[in-house]
Amino acid sequence: MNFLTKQEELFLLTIYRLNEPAYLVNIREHLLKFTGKDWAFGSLYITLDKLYRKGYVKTYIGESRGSRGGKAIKYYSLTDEGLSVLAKTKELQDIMWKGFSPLLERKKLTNNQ
Amino acid sequence: MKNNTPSRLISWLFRRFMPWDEWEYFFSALQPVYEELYETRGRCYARIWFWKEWIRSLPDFIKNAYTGRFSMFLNYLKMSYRNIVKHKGFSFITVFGLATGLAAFILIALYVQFELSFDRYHENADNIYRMVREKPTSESTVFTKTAVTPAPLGPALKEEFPEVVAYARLFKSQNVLITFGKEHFIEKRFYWADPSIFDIFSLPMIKGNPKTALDDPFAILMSERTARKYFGDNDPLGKVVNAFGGNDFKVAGVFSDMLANSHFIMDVMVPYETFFKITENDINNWGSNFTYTYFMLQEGGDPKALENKCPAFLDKYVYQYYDVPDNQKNTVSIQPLTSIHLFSHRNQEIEPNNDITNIILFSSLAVLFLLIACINYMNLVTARSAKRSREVGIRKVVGAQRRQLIKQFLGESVAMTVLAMVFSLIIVQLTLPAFNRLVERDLRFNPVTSPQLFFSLVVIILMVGLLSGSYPALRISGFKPASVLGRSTSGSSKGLPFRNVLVLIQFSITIIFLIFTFMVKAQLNFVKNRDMGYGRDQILTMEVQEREIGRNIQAIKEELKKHTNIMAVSTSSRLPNNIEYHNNAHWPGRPPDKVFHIYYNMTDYEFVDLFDIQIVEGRNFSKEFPSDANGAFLVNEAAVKAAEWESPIGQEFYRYGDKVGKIVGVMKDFHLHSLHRPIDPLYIYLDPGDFSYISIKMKSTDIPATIDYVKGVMKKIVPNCPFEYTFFDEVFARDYHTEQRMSTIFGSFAILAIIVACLGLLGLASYTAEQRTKEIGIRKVLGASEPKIFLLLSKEFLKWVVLANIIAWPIAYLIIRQWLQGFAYRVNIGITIFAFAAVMALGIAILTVSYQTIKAARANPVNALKYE
Repeated sequence: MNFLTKQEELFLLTIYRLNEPAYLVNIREHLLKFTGKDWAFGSLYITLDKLYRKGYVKTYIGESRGSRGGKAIKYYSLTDEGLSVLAKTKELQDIMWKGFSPLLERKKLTNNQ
Repeated sequence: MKNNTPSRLISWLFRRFMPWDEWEYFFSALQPVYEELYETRGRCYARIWFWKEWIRSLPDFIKNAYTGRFSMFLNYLKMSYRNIVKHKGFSFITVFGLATGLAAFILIALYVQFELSFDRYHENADNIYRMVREKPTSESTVFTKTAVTPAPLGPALKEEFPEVVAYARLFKSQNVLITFGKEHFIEKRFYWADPSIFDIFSLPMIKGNPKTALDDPFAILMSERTARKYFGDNDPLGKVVNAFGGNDFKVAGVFSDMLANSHFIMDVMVPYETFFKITENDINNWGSNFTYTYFMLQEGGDPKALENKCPAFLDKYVYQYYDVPDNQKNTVSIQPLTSIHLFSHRNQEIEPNNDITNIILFSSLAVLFLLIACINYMNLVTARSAKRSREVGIRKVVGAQRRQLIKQFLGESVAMTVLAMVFSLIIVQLTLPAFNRLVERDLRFNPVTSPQLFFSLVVIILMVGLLSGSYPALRISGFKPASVLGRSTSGSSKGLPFRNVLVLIQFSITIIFLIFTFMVKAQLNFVKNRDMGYGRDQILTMEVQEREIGRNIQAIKEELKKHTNIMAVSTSSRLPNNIEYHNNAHWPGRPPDKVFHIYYNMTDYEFVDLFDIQIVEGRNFSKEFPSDANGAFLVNEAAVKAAEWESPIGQEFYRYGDKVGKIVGVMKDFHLHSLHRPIDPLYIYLDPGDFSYISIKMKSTDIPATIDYVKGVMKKIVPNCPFEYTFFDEVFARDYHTEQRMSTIFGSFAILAIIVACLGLLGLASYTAEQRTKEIGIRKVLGASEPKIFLLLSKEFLKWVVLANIIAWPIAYLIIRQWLQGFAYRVNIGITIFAFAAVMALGIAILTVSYQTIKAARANPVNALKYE
């Protein structure tokens, strides 16, 4: 399977989780809220474009939802492929993380000493 | 729209990294955010925010932009490499052609740069001027331009004009004998100079104080190399040398050797005014001219304005005391220091100058060579374009844009130029010594240590690469994929005329060079074989200045004549090839309207015999006629003609216009100047005491022993005078030195042009042979013989070479006619030279194309036809 970078994973999840049609502004807000990292719009665009080219994201043109509205902007949504790659990533991560409990490990380590 | 959009610059910057429509969407999405910021925080904040967005995005933008392109770039590199390796021979020709052109360009550029740099190293170079003089000739409308001025001119200038900050006078004494202890040296660059010379010129002193060094009237300053010659590693300061007729001079300083790009170079300097003390000349004499007057204007001084004030200035200082008609007055003019080397062509220049026309000629040749090299490169690359058309086709089919292809080919071209540049640097390093000999300079070339040169090299590489790659890039990238992929050969005959025109131009240039070189050679041969009217074989000459020799000349002559191999010894003020002194002819009963210049030469009794000068009327000077010693003349036929004497023998004549004597004989005209000038009237006056040259005619047997004998005699009689000699034929050859050099230079250029033109032709031939493979195959199958096909292919190119001849001939004719104007006696411009150049060009062309054409003609038709 294709591995996603952490950034790609975050972006796909954001698009998935947004309750409204995703576009540059609300993707950025969402990412800021959950990760604390403020992406530049240009960087956002580049990453989204990359995801689009990989086929995980599809775009459609719609009207802006801003206060003045009326202008055509690009919205992003997941493709089936995008969904499945997320699912596979989660599956993989669940397996990899299974049984991981840092507190227990620490105790074990201290006991051994 | 309200003025709340981001600036145009920033949107442009964003758009560099995204397609146009994407930007539209991108910006629409952002606009509400931007507008909100604009309204709440103000325009300035909003704009800064937008900039910040861009800057923060930049790393991602760049990464994105180049991930794709880099692999493309690698692909281009790979393709270029494969192309070079696959066609090794072809690539070599291409690169070699460019390298030759570039090397020629670099060499000439070095030379031109050096010539233009003359005298610019002086700190005050822009404010230093030289005052020069025009003296009216007897025709009074014609002026003789000389570089020398009277001695009092400098001080008068300073006194009269406040804008003249300083002046310095100097003049050169040639061949001054300097004695230090037991050592004798002849100094050729011995200068008398005002102490102020250090205020005007930048002459760094190594030892001694420049302010006071020349204050002592018997101080002497030496250049570093001269001081080393005399004193080795010892401290030169305070040493005493003997010079200029037994005067002691004390070394007061050493200055660093003057740079080669100076219009005069001093090795020894002594105070200017001392000359007048020693020789008891009047330093305030406005009538004697041998001084070079340099002066410095204050910052921003206007030399033109000063020049306009000069006639009144001369009236005030000179002409108010004399009754001189206006048209007989001397005038002066002002030359900027930096223009002297290239623009001043006066009589009595300090040292021979160069000419700006040479520089222009050389520069245009440099550009021409570069242009030819570029043309060639274009020619070769386009010729090969057919081979690469399929690559272009494939690239286009898979989506390459034309712009990308242009970039690819331009990049390849630049890469080739870089390669060629490396080659050319090697060529320059190898040929620089020979080139230096050719132009008689000591040029250095080191691109690493001079960043200026390095920078210009990079610019040249880029320019040549782009220039020579542009045509093929535009043409190849314009191929239509369907047509180049559809058929196996792409016979685009559209480009053929252009390529042929290129070959045409190159061969025309080559032929012009050839004809010109042959012509110069022919003229030189003409000079060599012409009967000059005097003999010039086995004559040894010594130029002498020392009075000691003058005092002992009788003894020297007698001693020399004792040797069986010495046939004659003669003294004269000038040698017969170059008699420079002249005055106005004068004789008792001269009609007042009969005014002409007559050249003169002082000789002894043997001169005419020694140089085999024919006497057509009367007799030579002879000791059998004691009256000769009191004043006797020989004149040449030109003088008789100019004076219109019916019976010249016995005619009375004035020497310098004062002392009278009789003409005893008429000499057959001989060339008293180089062949550049017609034969002028001449008289020879018998005066064995007045001479600058001793000539010795020897038998041709065992010349070295004879020279040794002469040396022994000189050492015995005048032990303090160094023995230096030249053969008269070498002195004679010096008059044609320029032409000799020109012939070598143009010969080399012709060879270069031939190489480059052949490379071009070779490219064309291989292309055509390639294109017509199938046609040749079919012809052969149908029964054409090999010679016939060879002829068919050769005809194609030779046509153009013949045409090149037709273009080149009239141009070459005009050029050589112009050049030959400089000779009063010249060869006829014969058709043979033109024919010879044509045959040569044709021969070279045939040789060049024959490899390709023979290969094509002999190829097995099966190979040519099987792929169908």
